[in-house]
Amino acid sequence: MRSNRFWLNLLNIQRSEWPIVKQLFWLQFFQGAGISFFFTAEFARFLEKFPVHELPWVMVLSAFLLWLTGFAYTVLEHHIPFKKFNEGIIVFMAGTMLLVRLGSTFITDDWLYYISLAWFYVLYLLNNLEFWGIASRLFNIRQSKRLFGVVSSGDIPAKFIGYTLALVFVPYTGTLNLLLLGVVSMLISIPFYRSIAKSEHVHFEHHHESHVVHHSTHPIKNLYQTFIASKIIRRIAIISLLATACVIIVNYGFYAKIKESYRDDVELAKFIAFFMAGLRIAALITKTIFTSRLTTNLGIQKSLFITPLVLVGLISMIIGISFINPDERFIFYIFGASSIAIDVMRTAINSPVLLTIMQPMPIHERMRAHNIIKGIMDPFATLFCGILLLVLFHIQQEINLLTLCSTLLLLAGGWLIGIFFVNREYLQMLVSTISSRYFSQDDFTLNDQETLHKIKDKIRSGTEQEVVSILSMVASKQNPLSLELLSLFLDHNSDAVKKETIRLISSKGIRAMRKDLEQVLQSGNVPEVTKEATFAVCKMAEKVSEISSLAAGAESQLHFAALAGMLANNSRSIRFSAEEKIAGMLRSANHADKITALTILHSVSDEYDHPLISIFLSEEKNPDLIKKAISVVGKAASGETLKSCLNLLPQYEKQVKKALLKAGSHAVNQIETHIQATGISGRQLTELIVIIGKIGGIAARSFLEKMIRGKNTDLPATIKSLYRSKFKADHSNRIHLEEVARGYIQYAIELVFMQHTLMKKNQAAILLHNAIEIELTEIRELLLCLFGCMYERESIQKSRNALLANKKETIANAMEIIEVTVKKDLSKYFCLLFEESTIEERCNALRSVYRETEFTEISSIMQRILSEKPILYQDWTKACSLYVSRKYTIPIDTVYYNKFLGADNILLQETAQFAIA
Amino acid sequence: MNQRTSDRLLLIEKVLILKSLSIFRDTPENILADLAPLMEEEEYEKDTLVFKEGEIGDCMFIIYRGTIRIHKEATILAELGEKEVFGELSLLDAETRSASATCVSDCTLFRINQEPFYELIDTRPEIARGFIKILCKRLRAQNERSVQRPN
Repeated sequence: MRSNRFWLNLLNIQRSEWPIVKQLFWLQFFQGAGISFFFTAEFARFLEKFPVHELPWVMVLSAFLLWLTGFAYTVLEHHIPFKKFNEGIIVFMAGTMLLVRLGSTFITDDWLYYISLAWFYVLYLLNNLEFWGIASRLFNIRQSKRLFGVVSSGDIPAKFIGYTLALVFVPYTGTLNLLLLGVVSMLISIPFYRSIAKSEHVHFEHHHESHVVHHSTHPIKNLYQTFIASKIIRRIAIISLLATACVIIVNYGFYAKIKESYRDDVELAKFIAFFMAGLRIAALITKTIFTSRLTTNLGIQKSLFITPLVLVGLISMIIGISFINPDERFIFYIFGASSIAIDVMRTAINSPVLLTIMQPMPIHERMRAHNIIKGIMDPFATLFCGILLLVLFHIQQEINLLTLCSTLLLLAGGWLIGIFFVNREYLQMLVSTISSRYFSQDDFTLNDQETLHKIKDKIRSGTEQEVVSILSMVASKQNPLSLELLSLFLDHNSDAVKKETIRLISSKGIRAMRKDLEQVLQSGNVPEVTKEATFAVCKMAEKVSEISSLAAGAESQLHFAALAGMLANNSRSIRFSAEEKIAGMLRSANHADKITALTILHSVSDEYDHPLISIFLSEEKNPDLIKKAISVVGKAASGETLKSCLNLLPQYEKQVKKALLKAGSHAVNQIETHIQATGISGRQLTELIVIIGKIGGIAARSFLEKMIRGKNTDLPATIKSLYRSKFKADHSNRIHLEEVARGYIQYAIELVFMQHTLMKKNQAAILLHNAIEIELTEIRELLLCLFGCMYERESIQKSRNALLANKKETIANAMEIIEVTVKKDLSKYFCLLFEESTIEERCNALRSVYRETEFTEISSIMQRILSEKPILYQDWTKACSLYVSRKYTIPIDTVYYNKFLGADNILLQETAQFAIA
Repeated sequence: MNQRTSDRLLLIEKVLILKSLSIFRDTPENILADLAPLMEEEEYEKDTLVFKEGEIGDCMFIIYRGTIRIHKEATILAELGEKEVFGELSLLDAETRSASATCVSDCTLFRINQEPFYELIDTRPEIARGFIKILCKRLRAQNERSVQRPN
């Protein structure tokens, strides 16, 4: 097999994966051949000696043998190192085949025939457990989707060859000697296994280098617990059981009719071999060419439906035809065709897809799931079918195809329902695999007497820190607040608790606590507590007369607290008198008075906005006072104040940005008006867009959505802000956002092709290559933001975190989430662009959708970047282009140097000067 | 410090120097481009004391050329060469220097001061990530060592 690009593309394999895929293919090839020799020999011998209706007894027997094997496998796999254990299994399979051959020479009793045929199922199980156990250690979910079809197809040509050889040799050698061929074939697979173990020793020894895995001493209990605890494993196990049962029944019906049609034993063996060979070659074609493409294009979830839907279609057709044309031979042919189709699909599509579904699980859970399915559910399916077929034969005294068809329809129905439930769990499993830490904080009530009693005890006996945290819990959970509890908090010895309680009373405006606050004022021991109480009393007062003594207080700090409280009061008349005093201070020529007024206003910035602040911001010249005045802007700021504040953005960027964030959602309209009125652009526009995103809310989302549709905007910043504002697209704006995403995918494709050209160039290209990598990362981020706005935000967020973790497994899981969550035409290219693969492989996969001319020279890439097409590019990328041009003497048009001589960014400007010098 | 020379390297070249340091290996160049202007080039002659043990640290140094000895009085703790960093923790806190640093040869160092660095991480938190990663790595190694040697 040549590993050229055509074959790799056809088989959907990446170049780096080829060596291991090849080894696995040959491993499975020789083991598959060995098992097919064994099956042909034993099945022909059994059918020669017994009628078909004896076959269910073999099923029942094999079920118990399979359970026993599954049990032994589960116990031993945890006690023997992975590498030795699997080699031991291969030797064991070869040894038992040899034993059957020797036993058949010396023992002629009927029981040996039953046990020998039942042993075929054991060999089949062991081969499956061993092979898929190895494969699931080597590949992550994304690789599994592409490769499981190919690696497992090794057993199909093996079985094809095995059955073909059986067809040729059986008339001359007799069936028994096929067993010896089986032994040899099994032993030949050992060197391939050793080669895999050697090249992938990391996977075979410890799954994680720095993480020693301790095995449980109760493997069976673990299996049971995994089955009980994991919903998805339970569901996968059930559909696996139903799938196996369907295949067993369909094959049984077919064999029965073959036996009736071919009475001569040699002819019978030949037909079985011919049938099996044909079936395997069909499966090989399906598996190598179609499976990975089907799962990639349809997705894992939809691919699961293929086999049962085809089964339902075929069986319904058989039942329908039987009413029109009751000729048994005709029905037999259709049944035979159905049997082939189902067997092919199960081997080529259903089994690999089921295994792929389990890939996101942690390694040990995945292995346990695999053992449950193969070691417990498959034998159960065999037992179930054996008993069912024995009962049916007992009732009807014949093997009736229509009865089998009805049974199959019932099972297929259950299978389809099971897939529906598995799919519902799949995304959830992916998400929780990425974020293994999840906790939910349930709401609880603080109003029942028992809880209140406990809280009171704790307030009396708790330390300061404990009581403060109880207070914040009560504040957030109890509605309405218990006056009794508030009094207890106020009586606490700690001043911090007292202050926090007064703040809570004041913020919630609990007038009923006024008397308690007055008591605090009267005691007046601690200035800070008294100040807080003064503020609270003045804020909640209903008449000026109630607080006249406080407002006229001689102690300046208490006087200021009283003024602040009055400004925060809802009564206009109370506010007015304080407002006048503050206005006087703001107009004062005394610097200290202005500072005091601004300090008071700052303390109530979320509740009150002084009408003079807007003018103060416009007219004041002292930078310190301006900074202080900007800090007064808060949630209560008026439109005028915000407007004056925004006008200060160029000189006081840091302070204005902070003030706008503090002002929150009602600053959005003012920012919008400011952008439209001033027509600002560049970095300041970007900063305002970022602030709007941080503020969030309906107004912010609506503004940003408008910005995305507009042309003169910083699109990347707007997209990120839109995502940050928790925008959720509806049908109409989703179409537009999808268009934007498609545009970015095209830009990213062009960048990958740039990298492809740079790869072939010299050292000079490395700098540019890395700069383009940063551009690609930025586009990935923008696409994730767009996906988050359009689809399930939480899943996209998990996927983003997984990508940032930047490990092979996490990237694979992230891509899988994207594929499941995002619209097909977007997710497909996203995965192709950002999945772990070489640039060459990415270009091969994307060539069909690349619309531009491929770059041949480094200079054409630099000119494309410096002409700022199709995207603006980051200043760093442009600077790198200019630097490379001068440093490595790669000539480009001087217009590109001149363009950046006046750039805002110092680095870009300096590099342009360097380049032109 | 003996003398201060005018900047001879372009900002873009300073970015490439930063990128070659282990603390900024995972920080993208476009972000380091904001840090590069803070790098002040300083020339030191052989045997010059860069800082003394017990001094309050308020900057970190990157060795562009030369070798630096880190020592506690006469005991040598390490000798650092080109593209190595010392005093980096002083960018994050203002504790006293735990050891002295002296030039083994003529050296060209880049100095990054704490105050402008603080202002930068206000707007570019990604810069701090490189530091946090290194600190986490050191902490893990320390934990590992204390688990291995409980006594």
